[in-house]
Amino acid sequence: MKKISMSKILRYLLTYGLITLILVMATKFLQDRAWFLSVFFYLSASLIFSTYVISKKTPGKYLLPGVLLLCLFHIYPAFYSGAVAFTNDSNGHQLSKTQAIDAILQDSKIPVQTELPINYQVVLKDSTREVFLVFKYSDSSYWIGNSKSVVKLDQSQLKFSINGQIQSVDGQKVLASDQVERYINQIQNITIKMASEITLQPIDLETLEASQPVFTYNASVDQLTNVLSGEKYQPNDNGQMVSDSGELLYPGWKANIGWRNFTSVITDKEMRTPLLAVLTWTIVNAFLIVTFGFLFGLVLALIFNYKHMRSKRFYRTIFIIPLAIPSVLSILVWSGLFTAETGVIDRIFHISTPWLTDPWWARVAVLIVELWSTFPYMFLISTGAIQAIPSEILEAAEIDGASPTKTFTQIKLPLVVRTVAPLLIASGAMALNNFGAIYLLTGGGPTFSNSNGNAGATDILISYTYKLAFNGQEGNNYGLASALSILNFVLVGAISLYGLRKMKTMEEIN
Amino acid sequence: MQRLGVGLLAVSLAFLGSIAPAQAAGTLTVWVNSGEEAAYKAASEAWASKNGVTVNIVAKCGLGDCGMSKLGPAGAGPDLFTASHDNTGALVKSGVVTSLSSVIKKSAYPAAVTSGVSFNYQQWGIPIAVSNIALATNLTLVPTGAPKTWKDLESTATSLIASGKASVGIVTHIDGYFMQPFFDSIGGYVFSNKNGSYINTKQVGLNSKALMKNAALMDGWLAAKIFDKSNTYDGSNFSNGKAPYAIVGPWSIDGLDKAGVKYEISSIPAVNGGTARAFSGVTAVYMNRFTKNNLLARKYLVEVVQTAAFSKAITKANNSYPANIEAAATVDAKSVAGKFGAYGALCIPMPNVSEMNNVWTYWNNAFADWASGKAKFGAAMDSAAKNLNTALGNK
Amino acid sequence: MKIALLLDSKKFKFWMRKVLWRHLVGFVVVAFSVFPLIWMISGAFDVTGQISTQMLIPTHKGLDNFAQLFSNSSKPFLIWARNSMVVAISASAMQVGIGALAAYTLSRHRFKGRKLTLSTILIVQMFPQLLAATSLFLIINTFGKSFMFLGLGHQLPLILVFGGSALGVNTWMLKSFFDTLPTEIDEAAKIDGADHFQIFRKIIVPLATPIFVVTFLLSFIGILNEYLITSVILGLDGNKMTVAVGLQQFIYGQYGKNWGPFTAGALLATIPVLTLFIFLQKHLVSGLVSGSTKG
Repeated sequence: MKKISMSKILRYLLTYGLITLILVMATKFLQDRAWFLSVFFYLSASLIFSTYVISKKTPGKYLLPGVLLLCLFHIYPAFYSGAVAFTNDSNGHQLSKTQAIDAILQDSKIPVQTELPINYQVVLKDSTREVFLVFKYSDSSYWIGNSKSVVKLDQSQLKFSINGQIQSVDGQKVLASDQVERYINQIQNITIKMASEITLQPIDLETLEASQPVFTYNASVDQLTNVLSGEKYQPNDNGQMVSDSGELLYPGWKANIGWRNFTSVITDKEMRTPLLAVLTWTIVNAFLIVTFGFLFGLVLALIFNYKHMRSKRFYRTIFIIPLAIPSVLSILVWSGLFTAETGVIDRIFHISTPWLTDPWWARVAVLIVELWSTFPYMFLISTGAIQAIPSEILEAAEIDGASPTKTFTQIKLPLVVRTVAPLLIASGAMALNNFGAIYLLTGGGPTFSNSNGNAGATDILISYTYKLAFNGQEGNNYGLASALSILNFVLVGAISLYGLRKMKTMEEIN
Repeated sequence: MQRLGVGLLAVSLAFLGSIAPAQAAGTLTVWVNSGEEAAYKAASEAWASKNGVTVNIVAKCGLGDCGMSKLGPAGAGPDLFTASHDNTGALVKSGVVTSLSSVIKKSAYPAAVTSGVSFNYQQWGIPIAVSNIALATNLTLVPTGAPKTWKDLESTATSLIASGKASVGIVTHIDGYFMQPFFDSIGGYVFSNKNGSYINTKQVGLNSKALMKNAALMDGWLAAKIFDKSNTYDGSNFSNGKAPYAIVGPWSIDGLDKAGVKYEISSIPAVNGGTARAFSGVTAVYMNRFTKNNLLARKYLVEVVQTAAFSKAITKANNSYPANIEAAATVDAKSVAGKFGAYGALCIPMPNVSEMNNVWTYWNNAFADWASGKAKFGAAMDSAAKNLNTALGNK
Repeated sequence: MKIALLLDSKKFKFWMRKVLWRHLVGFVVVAFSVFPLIWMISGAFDVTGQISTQMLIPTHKGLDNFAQLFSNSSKPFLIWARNSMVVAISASAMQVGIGALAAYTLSRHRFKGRKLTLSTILIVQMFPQLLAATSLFLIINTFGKSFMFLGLGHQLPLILVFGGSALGVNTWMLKSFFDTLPTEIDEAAKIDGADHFQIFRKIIVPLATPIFVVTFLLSFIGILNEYLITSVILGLDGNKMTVAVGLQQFIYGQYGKNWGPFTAGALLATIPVLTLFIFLQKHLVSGLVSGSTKG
């Protein structure tokens, strides 16, 4: 018999344990109707099984963990944005249609005043242990029932104690009050439907509340009727019940609304104007910061790449400090320093600039902070590129008698730009989504006065999206936010594609 | 080996499948504002141990609805949570809260308080605390104490600024909530209301006739530095003794005490006499519609949250004023909480309709435009009102 | 003597003309670079704790801000620090581990779909995860419906989200490093009977340790710095936050704008990262510059 090594057993346990775990999760997702996740997890389990147990091929064994996680947490969310963008997923549209209609029916109920509170007692049916409530209704008759059924009891079926409490029903003893609490989970879900639409629901462990509905729902025609006014409500295309006169019922439900999130940003002036401003600033900001950052970095690199100069290493170490401070914290510090009038910057320079409250000054503040955080990187790559210029070329130029300016503009600069161009484009693509520098410094503000949704003068697409989805005073609009992230995807994609192309041509050149 | 593996798989699957996702019976989860969890815990302890229930208090909420609109339907919400009453409309319209009409003992609260948590003829929250902003006077700069009239306030501020002792008059955040008393005092209002009940959102008063007539007053005060227009939340001008007055809330008290300022809390005088009314806010406990502990939660609300002792314990911890009448009666009128409460009784409840969300946007923006000098007060409010009416589909 | 003097003065003149101004520029840029850091330090030791009175050299020095930072029960700095560590260490370990596995096979094995995998990774990494933050929030919310511990407000899903982007973060960088390791060593080991995993574990991993350290640290710093996804997934629960999200709470709210404790906390969080960066400057910088092609 072949000896089974410890590590082999461990490996089997690990593999099968993982597969089991994933299968269990997949099943739970299936029960909870999370279809995609369920399918994905079943698929993952079978892929893991085939890759690690059946297949003899090696590459898959190394790639699979990364690929599965990448699909779930990077690629799936991107496509999910696409799906959400076509829904009205937002506050007030969070429930499913059934839940929403249920909520409308439930919330509109009017309590029916009864002379005496309707007290109930609890009986368990012996065979099934099903919970039933026994109670004396307002017409002094006795009833027994639960959500499924309710029947009137004959006095002969009941046995009372001396103080008038029900002792047993059909020989079945009622639960003592200290026993009732054990069945609280069943009791609280009971709704007893009496005649003429009156329903009874327990409000504590001894009292039933009688109430009368205002709305009735007819599932076959998908229609709510207000029994008091006779008004009828039908679902509209935005996931809400609406009457002929245009009265809306809340809550609504999550519904597919087609292209409306996309068209609304074009047709609705309140959204179009701020969005255009945000889009413009997104691109302008990215462009400016890469340009300024690069120029600053390049000039510094030229200045400090000088052989007769000492303490170059010292300077370099200090220059990269912006890279070494956690940017979230440094930006928050900057935001304090920029406080108008009382802030450090205004006090040092004896100015009173409304840095964060004036649109233009806020933009300047953003650029200063972004410059601070990007120039070290630009300095490093420029230094690298300058040092990589073959010295023969420069010497040859010198021999040819080229002036320093000429050497710089005609030889050094083109060579440096050519080397760093792909890096600059990549930085540009990153700068499009420089969320922290915007959101933590200005919060995207100051806000435009004519915008619905809190867009501000320094907002870029990603910060505007964040505010729409998570910070909006006007409710969290996930659908609209997703539609805008798609716009952002397209923008980033276009620039990155351009960068890739450029990189390819570079490779061909070299 | 392979077969062993498959067998193992099957067995463990069966095992895991048999473990039902059980939620411990007798556990209530309550989400409260961060910083207040200790007070809630202490005030619930006796009841919890008496009933053998675990009350799990978690600091999860800040402003707004605790993320309930998303977490509630996902089944990830608590059984109960606290929120300020102005969220009521939005919570109800999102369908994430349950009516508490059958729980609330209305007679235990002032009518203004219960109307704050009522919406669509139902009661949705159990009130705990009332909080509102008030005027703080720096007693070192103004030894005579809180101003009795607006004239008093204005002249004190002007003379202090003129003498260089102060740089501004009133430190405040320039937005709708903090400026509401002054807005009210010159005749502006958000929606027309009847006894604190805002049913008619068609009538927007951001540019009411009275307000437009008096708008120039605001421009004058701003120019005279009566208001601190630096518009930061940092109240340092007041705590440094550079301003005689500030608009503060119960949440500011700790900071002021720590800074060692000598101050007095009072109501805010109105321009034409009487009191300028701020918005009062009610902190209330709401019940998640999707709770699995419906009856237990109701029991907790009735036996704990609704008691005077609870209201008192929570408000004592955060310097606010008890919503419960009986608890409020025990507050010393000379204490800070008492003074906030005394002014609060004269205030108007913050509208709890979901339309307020739009109001905040335009109203706050109008204040910002005005403070930054982009527009005169009247013009800013007029355009805010027009934008708001368009957004709400009025006219 | 005379000649020496002349030389000296010539040298000095040269220095004056060609070098001095460079130092002057250097001084200005140094001031710009350390500007926020200096004020962070001075703020941390300034007991008045207010931005409006802060001086470069604090007038009232003391450790009050630190005491306040550690005693605030609703803003528990130490718990945030622990949370940051837990999230950043596990997620960057995941990123490096998963990335290394993939990079190994992409560098050493030739198989069908290799090119496709490489270019897919290149495309995916152009789109940072935060673009889909809204969807991530909704997806994690769905997770939470079925499994509490995988839902919003928990650290595990956050770790998985960061760790899950491993392929898009550093596979290319690791692969290009593995490519520089001579294949002859693998061949020799193969002849000795080592299987592919043994080659990875016993040969590649030890040789690549330095690059692992660099990628780990870069991932680590990146995750410590992450604000958007972290705030979206962890939410407002004071005990679940990370330092990056939590410290921000200090400077919110009227009269609650606690500049002092905020700067104290920021300083404490900055020191380890800064020290690490300066010590490992050479490696980290080369990693940053080479790794940044991919964004």
